[in-house]
Amino acid sequence: MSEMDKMDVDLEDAGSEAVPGEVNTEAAEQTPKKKPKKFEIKKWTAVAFWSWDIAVDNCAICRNHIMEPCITCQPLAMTDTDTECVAAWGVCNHAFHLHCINKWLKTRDVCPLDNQPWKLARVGR
Amino acid sequence: MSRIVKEYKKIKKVLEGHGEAFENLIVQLAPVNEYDLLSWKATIRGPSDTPYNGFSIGLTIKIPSDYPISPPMVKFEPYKMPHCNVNFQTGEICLDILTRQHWSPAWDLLHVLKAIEQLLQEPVPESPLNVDIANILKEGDRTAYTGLVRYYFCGGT
Repeated sequence: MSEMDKMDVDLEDAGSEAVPGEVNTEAAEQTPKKKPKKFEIKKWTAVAFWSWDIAVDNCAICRNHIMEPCITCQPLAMTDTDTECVAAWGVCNHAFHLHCINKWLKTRDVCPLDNQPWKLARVGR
Repeated sequence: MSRIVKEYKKIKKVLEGHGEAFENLIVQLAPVNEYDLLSWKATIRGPSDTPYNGFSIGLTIKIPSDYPISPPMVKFEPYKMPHCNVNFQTGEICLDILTRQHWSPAWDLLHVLKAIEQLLQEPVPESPLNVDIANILKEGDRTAYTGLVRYYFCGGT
């Protein structure tokens, strides 16, 4: 509470610096009442969100996020049958789910995004 | 959830969104039945700089069970389509990205319709499925081309 009181004072001070004339009259009016609070913060819930700080987002094959399970593994993600569903990067630096790209490579051995021969660079998260 | 379900959601969003590049092209793109996303129908507008301008053109799309590993099967249906890369009787389209040799699973139905629009704008008479129209194009006779297309669209057989 003490911190909030301070905050109120700070804000009023800032106001008086910005528009001295106006605040002076206000201050004069408010003197007898001893600055009633306009509102009081009862509860404060902080919300934050985050995103991956990397260039890739969705797997171009299944359209799920690359850091989340692929579309086939997604229904199993919360169950005991959860299998390791990892991302795979080609030497071209394009990333897909390992499950997705492996399915595709059986059809054609190229990167779906640049049509160049696929060479696996690394697998992981 | 499969990929076509995700696409369906995206397509609905895109078509409701307006203002996008697809507004001038797509009249309709939807599954025949909401509960079977393997069978779709589409209606596109004939591109403005072509003899197809002003006509609505129907397509049917079949989604294979292993989509997007295999490409969708797209045909001009139910009406006969006069175009040098379309089989006039069956509606079959000669378009490289729809073949197993060229398809990429990174593409979706919206890409496919864009590619078909491009085929209407830039016919390829060198690999024809309709030799008569290909020959007209090879001779550079735009008037005959436009006339023939309009003749068919306006009820010719």
